[in-house]
Amino acid sequence: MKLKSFRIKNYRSIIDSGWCNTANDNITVLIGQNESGKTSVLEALESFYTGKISEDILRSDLSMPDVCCSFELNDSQYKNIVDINKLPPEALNILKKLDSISICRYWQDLHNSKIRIDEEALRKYWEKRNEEKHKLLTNTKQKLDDAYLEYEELKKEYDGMSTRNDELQNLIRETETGIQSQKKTLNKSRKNKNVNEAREKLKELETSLKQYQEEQKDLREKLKEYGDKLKELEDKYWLAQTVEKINMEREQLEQNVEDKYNELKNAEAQHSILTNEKERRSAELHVNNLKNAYDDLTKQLANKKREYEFQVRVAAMMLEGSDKTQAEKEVKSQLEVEDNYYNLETLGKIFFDNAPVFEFFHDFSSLLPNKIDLEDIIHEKENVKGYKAVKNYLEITDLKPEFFNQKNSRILKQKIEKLNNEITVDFHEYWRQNVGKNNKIHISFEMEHYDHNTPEKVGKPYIEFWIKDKDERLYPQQRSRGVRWFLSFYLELKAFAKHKHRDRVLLIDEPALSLHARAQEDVLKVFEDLKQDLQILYTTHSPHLINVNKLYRILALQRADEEEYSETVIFEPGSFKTASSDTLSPIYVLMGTRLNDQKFVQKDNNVIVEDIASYYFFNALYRIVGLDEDIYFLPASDVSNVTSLANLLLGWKLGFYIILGNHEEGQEIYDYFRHHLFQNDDEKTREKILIMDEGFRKIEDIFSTLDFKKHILNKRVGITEANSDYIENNNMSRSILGSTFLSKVQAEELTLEDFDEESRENIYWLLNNFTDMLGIKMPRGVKAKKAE
Amino acid sequence: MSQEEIRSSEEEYLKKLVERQQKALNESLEYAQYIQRVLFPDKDQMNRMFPDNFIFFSPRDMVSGDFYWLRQVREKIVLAVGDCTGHGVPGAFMSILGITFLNEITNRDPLPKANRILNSMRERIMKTLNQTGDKKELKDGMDIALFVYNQKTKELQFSGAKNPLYHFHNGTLNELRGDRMPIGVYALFESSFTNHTIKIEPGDRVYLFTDGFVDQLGGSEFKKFKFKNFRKLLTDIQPHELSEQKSILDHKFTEWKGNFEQVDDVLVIGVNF
Repeated sequence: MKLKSFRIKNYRSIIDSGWCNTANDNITVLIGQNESGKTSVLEALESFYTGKISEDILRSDLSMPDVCCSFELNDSQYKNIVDINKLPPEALNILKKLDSISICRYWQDLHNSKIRIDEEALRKYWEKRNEEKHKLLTNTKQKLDDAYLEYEELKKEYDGMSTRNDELQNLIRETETGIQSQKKTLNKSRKNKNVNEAREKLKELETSLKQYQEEQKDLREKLKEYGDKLKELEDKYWLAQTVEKINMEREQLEQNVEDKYNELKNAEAQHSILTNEKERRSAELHVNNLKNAYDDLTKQLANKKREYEFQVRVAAMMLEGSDKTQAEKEVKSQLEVEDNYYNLETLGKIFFDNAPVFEFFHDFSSLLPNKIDLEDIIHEKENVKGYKAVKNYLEITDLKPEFFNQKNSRILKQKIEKLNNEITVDFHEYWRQNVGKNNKIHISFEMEHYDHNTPEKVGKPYIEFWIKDKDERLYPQQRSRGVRWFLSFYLELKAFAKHKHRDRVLLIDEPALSLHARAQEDVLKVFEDLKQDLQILYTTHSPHLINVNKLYRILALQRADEEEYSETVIFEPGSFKTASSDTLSPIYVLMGTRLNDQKFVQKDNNVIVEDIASYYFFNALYRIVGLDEDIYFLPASDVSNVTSLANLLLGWKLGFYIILGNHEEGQEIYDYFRHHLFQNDDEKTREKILIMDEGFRKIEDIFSTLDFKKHILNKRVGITEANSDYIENNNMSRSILGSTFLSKVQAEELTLEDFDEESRENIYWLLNNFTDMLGIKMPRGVKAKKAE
Repeated sequence: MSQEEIRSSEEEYLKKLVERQQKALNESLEYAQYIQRVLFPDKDQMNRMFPDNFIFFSPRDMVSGDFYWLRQVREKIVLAVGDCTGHGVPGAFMSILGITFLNEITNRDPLPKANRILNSMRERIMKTLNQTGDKKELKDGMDIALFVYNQKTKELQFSGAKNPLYHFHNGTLNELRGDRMPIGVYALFESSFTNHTIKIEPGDRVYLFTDGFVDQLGGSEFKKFKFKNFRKLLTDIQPHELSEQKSILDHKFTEWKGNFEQVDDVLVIGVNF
């Protein structure tokens, strides 16, 4: 998984960096003035990986940081990382469509952080799932509560009616008894004057009885109705009671957990301010007990929540019409499936565990020691001085500690010598510096045994390291800081790059500070060679650590305004024009322009040259000859891009000229414009495009070999090929040579008189043609004579 | 056999061995000489380009560290006389390099200027011998005098690495000095050889030579012949035809040398325009 971009919030001066893309070719450079936030970016990325932050990274409002990284993801990658059977189908579909995955680490406090996936689609899916679940639980609970209330009300009414029924039963009985009695009375009073009264009363009683009976009949119907309803609601009622009980238990547990957490935090705070050892031990014990209690409560709460969910979901199904047994069976099955699924947090952790390892390179932390006991290596004693560097060394040479058990000392010595040669040859691929003129350094180790001078270790083996040259044999610590840094760096990076089982991102702050400019180029070379195996992000102020043909690698950092505590802003290459000149100064230094008067594109007199090296040389020649007209040399990134650049200027209606070397591509460009722009008119084409004379493939070929060696290469060596071929055949940087040459000219260390006749002739010829093309005058006294 | 007889027999054996080895060496050197001479321009070629000329060539050994070389490119004729470090076999090897490089450098149209030919030669020597100016390096190389003569314009360009060119016009000597640096690395950072240009009139004579003649020890006081005497000698023989001048030089050299050993290879070329 390759790191594509990152976003940092609330980390030192960075409030919100926004998403910043890393370079596609695995090398990203952070530039900016001091205090711009470059190191903070690296530290934030390290914190993302390790989870560790310290108090001093917090901003004044104490808001917790949040660091997100987006990693490239393809089909084969995610299938290797996640078990697709553990992904809900919809989540799997979303994942299939992603070409990258964003993972964030957010801190809750200084010591606790969590990982989450920041992918919107996935997040929304899980949020939706959680919402639906929550809705289900809430709605079901609501329904249960409603059912409970309904039951209670019905029950109340039913009880009321039941009481009334009993009353009516009594009344009916009494009335029936009264009627019987009245009838008897009536029979007795047939012959006397009370019979009417008796009849009246009987009639009253009979009417009352009828009323009571009718009422009872209605009531009994209602009672049956209510009874049936109650029966219907009974299950729900008991469910609601059960769920409510669990809910209350859950709420209580939540409260307990919160209280315990607060208690724990207080105890931790108390512990941190105690100075007395005895009291500290006692407080520590108390804190540990509280932690255990807190963990227990958290587990109980989790179980209770699960129980609650189970019951509510069963209730939901029962409310839909399922019977209890069936509902319980189905919910159990569903939960088993869901438990098997990843949740967003687990998924985040899995991706995080497969994301690249971020490692911050700390120079001199892995310094090769003068010697180390073999025992310390075998027992992996990490705290022994130089252990890490030795480990890196052994890793690069594929040596296991068992190697040193070789009985035959001659064979062992031979093998060691072979390895020493191999690693030295490999090291020389990167370290081109010599001790003196041609004296290359050799890295080697030897196995020795302690003698009587170290009585406590007599006979025990140790490994001794040397950095030799032709004349001297010195311990690593006796060598210069530059060599030590580079060696430490080389060992770390090489060993780092060998770990292929997981991608790696190396973070380096200001590499090669103590190295000569040329050695800094060697550092860049190491980066270039290792970029296939790992990603590198580094900060720098040095133009020698920037490849001017690959400015897309750069992220420029600066403070938003001049206030000391203003936030950091990060510029990608597309928005460099809004960055300040000071921020972009390494680029300008590299490109040989002065900070204050840097001009690129003007309305007219823009002269397109093939590349940045040509830009430097032309600027230098222009200055050497003493031309002072306003001419703006515009470098294309490569000769193949000259056409695009010219078209761009054409589109912007800006005047331009082109100077090309005498080679096939140059001729093609010439023909292209002659055909498309100048209607095959050679004369018109030559008014705008100049191809250098035959033999001058590149601008540096106009110098005689002698001047090329003296003023550009600064080297005494036999050169029989063209200057440009020599540069190419020796893998030299034209840009660096051109930039250095321009610097010399700007510093007035070189004048026209320092060049021999051959160079001067060529320079005059070229610039004469150039000035003719632009319609400007050559300075007085400068003769133009074509080279023979 | 007596001890004396044994000794005598051993001596005889060793003598024959040495003789055999000497013979083999001589044969080898003869062949080397043959190869070297084949690389030099032949008489016909020289006569075609300069009908009136002489070449006084006296190598010290069978093979020579001195060489001469001739080429025509269109209307221009290039003549070079070189003196390589050492004489004998090592010098001969260097001379082969010199001839090869001259062939390479002049194999282009238009022909480079005389000084640029020497500049290019120096680069090739430095590259071939891996010279970078380090104090511990062997400073092998060659001294050379070279001119490019344009038959049309009658202009002669001269450039010399230590060795001069003597130009006689109406019997008067005009010396064109070579630069004080060899074809090869030396103490200072390399700079361009000087290109001298003169106009040639009909009847003018030009001499190119190595330092073998002037460095020859001899005379009554066992001294070097010296440039001063050489200049005087050439001036004195101007009234003579070139063919006679060669004989005179030969005679004078032999006379001066006397019984002393020849110190170095000797090469003097004279041309009449």
